[in-house]
Amino acid sequence: MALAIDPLIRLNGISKVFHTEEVETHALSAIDLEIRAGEYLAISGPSGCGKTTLLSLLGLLDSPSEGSYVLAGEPVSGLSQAQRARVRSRAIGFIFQAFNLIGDLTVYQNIELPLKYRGMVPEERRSAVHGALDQVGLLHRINHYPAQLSGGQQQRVAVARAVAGRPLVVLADEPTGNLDSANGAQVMELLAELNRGGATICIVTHDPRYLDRVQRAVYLHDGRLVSDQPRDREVA
Amino acid sequence: MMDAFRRDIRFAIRGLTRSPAFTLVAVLTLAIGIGANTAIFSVVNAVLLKPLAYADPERLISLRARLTGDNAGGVASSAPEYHDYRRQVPGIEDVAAVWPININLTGHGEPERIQAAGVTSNYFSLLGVPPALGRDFTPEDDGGRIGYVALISHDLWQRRFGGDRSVIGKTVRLDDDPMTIIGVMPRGFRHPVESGASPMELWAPVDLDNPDPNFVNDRRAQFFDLIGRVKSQSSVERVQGELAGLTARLSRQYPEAYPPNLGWRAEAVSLAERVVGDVRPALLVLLGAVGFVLLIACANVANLLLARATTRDREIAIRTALGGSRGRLIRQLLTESLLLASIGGVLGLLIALWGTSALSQLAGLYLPRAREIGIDPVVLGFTALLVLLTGVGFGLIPALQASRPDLQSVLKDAGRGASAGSHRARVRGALVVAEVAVALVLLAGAGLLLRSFERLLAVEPGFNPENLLTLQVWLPWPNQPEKGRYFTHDQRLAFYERAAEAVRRMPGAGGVALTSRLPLRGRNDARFAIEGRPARSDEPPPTAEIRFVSPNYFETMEIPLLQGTGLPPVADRKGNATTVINQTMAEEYWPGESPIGRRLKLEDSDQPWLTVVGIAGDVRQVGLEQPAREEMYVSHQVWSGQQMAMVVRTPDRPEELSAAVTKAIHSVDPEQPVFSVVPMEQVIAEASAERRFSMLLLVLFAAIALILSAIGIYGVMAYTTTQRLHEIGIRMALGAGAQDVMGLVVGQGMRLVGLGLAIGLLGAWGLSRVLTSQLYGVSAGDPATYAGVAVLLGLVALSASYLPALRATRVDPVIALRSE
Ligand SMILES: Nc1ncnc2c1ncn2[C@@H]1O[C@H](COP(=O)(O)OP(=O)(O)OP(=O)(O)O)[C@@H](O)[C@H]1O
Ligand SMILES: [Mg+2]
Repeated sequence: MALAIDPLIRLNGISKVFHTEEVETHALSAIDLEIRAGEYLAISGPSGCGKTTLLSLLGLLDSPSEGSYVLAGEPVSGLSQAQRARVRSRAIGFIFQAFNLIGDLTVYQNIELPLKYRGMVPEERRSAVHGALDQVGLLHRINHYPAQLSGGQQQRVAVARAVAGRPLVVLADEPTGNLDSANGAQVMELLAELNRGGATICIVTHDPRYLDRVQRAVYLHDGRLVSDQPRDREVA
Repeated sequence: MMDAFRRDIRFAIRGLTRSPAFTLVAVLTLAIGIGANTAIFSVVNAVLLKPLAYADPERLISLRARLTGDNAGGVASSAPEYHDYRRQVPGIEDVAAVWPININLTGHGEPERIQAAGVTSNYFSLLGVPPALGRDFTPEDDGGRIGYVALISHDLWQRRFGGDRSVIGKTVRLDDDPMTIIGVMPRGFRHPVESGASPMELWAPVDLDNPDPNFVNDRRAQFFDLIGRVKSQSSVERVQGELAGLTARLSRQYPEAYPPNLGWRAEAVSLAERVVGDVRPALLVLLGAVGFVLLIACANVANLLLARATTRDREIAIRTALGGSRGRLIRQLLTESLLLASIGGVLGLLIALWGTSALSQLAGLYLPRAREIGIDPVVLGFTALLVLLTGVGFGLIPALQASRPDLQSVLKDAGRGASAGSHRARVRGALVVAEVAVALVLLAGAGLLLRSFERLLAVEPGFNPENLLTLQVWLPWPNQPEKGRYFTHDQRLAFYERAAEAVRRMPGAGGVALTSRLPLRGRNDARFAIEGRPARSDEPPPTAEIRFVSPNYFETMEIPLLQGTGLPPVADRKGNATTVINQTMAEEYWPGESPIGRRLKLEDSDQPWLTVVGIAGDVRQVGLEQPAREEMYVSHQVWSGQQMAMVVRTPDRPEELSAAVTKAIHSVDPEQPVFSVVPMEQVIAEASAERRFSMLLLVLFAAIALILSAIGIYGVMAYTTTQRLHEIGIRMALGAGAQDVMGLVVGQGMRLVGLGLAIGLLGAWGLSRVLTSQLYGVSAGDPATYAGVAVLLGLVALSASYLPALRATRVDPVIALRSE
């Protein structure tokens, strides 16, 4: 498959080393990876291979020990904490395995949160929240608190929160890990639908069933990228 | 049972030693709270609670009169009244008369001015305290105005006679009269109503049964302070009722002594009330304030315990799982908090020991019974009670909480990935709200007193007190005054003028002036009549503060002359005597016209008519907080009494001239004590000493409250921030910047603080009423003070939540991905 001329994300020679009590963990070594706009990518591999680490670098939660990261034409590997926060609020949407909704906030307030951090004006926030919530089919739960929702519903709210601000890329770390298969399938269907609508999505998963739904699967082993292949679905 | 107790104690000690930082902070907090309370309680105990140190003190009363016409209380009594009380009031067993005097003591050392009293011979037996050495007075010990025998205080005995037991029979001279010491009072015996600054040190008998027609027969010679003893089958209330009848009888019988417009009324109050009644409100306010400090301390420790309980949940859960009963667990946790409180109590007692000695010194000048302040069994009992109350108080909520692990929220937290606020966090939040509210009440009280004090210090006294040395001289008045050195006006005047001249010649002395009484050193009321205006019988006679001064007094004191001239350099008592009045008097009696040239006459004296020649600016003679009264000045050449004060302008530090001034006066009369040699600024400070005491303590308590609540807010915010680290990570992953996180944490803290401030403002508004009598120039609801203290507390709270907030901004957002 030919490389896109202008990829949304380009990682070059990225590595990440954790230093803890005289032990060095090479979580990622010399990763080269490009993700095009509109792509639906899965990262998989055995436990401890570095998937979450990679996702945290992609999401600018952390900075690499080595290598360069260009996001939408902007080099972002050398940014300060504050700068990374700013980029994060505009360009990245996160979906977590543990949903990570904030318990004291209603569904509406949860989805609104990243929009607020981005500095969006209230009316725009309103319509964005409603649009996203409609997309995940939970408009009728808008004033509920997370504890009043089922796990699947919570994760759908989390999906709405990730996409409400139309980020450049949606990152999801095992979004179905805490769900039963029916709910998991529903969430994956939602992500596929978003992708069809043009969203760039990058998920971490080991579930082979879901790998079928993505355009491209990347395998990590021991912090190295060992395989990068397009999936059938893209062809279909 | 004992075994279980020992096990609990061991468990508690283990728990406390395992977290030394917690233990240290908790113990110190409690020590401050308990210590401050113990110290203030020791004052309240000594001053208000302890019975007076006399036999059957509850039967002792103070007999004084009230002038309802003048709206004046605390009027002393005359010798005929003394007899009336003794003989005509059925409920009164006996009455002793006290004539407090200031007297020159010479012989056996330097001449000294001491506080003494002429007392009827039944004085000590009425109080029920016999001398420690020698004998009591007998009715035969009569020597005219002051007897020739005397009893002295333990302190005077030690100071002047080195505690020599052969002092009995020795002779000293009092106002030049020889006086034989017949007894020494026990250590700690005090005249009931003495002032702390000048305790009563010598008692001589004065016999009212053998009246000296010169003065003891006069119903209006009211200078005896009467102490009575109520019969055991009667009561103060009954006596009060009987006095009403006596008042009516006497008023009918002696209309010229008790004119109806005066409204003279005999009154009895318990002696204890007389001694401490005035200071009770201020002391109770302080006790309340320090109680608030303890509440805050308890809230803080409860907060710390709650925080710690969270980290001990597992341990407690395991204990419960292993079959520990809830009651047992509560007992163990309470043992721990009681242990904490006990350690805090012991440390607090040390603080209190130091505090009480500081307090009795600070208060000694004006607080009655200040010398009795100390730690006694009652105070110890109070401290023990505090330990028990605080131990249970701050320990119970956390213990109840800890023994009921919040399974619900644990399930939700883990299962649903939602960070639910637990019940415990809400309790802690409520504690912070309460703490802030109580701290605000204290701060508002302190703020009000502080502003009052500020206003008081800003009061213009009407003269320039800077670089002004003051001193007092009271000339002796022996038993046979006509044989004394200072019997006549001319003798006295000569002495004063020579003394002033001697001081004037000293290098460094500027102007030197004389006055019969310094400003702020008590009243000297004179009734007067205005020429051409007959007194109206339905109105109390006009009165003014009178001062006999040297003509250069105004210039030396820098009191402005507003109109007319000052007192003439030479005046005599025959005709053409003059007076200078103050502005208030001019406006009161001659509104819209000039008083210059009008004539006044002082009542009941052989004084000449006084022509008003000038108007001087008002001087705060009576007290800084009281507006100037009508004041008049007459030349000391017209009249000089036994008592005179001198003011000396100095180039700078007046106190440096003290010794030289005393020496200069001794060069005129080496036997004459010169006393109270102090800068005028100290006279002013003494006039505000009582306010200073209350103000300083309340400010101190408010400061402690402020610090404790800052610690409390910090503790809660640090703790909740730790609890919220994961949530903060999520928010950062969602794009929250440092400001957003800072705002989140500080905002949470400030919401609690804001609620506390609102409640506190309401509380302060309600409670500050108790301060009303102690305020000056500021109302109990002063908005500026309330706003000021609220802002102060808000800022402190803001800084206290800033550190945890700063820590929150350093959260690594990666934790959002790596959830537990
Ligand atoms: N903060 C850290 N400090 C030290 N080592 C770390 C840190 N974070 C991750 N690691 C290590 O880096 C390696 C990669 O971890 P990572 O979480 O990326 O694995 P993963 O592929 O997401 O595993 P899983 O499928 O179990 O989630 C692991 O060996 C892990 O122990
Ligand atoms: Mg992982």
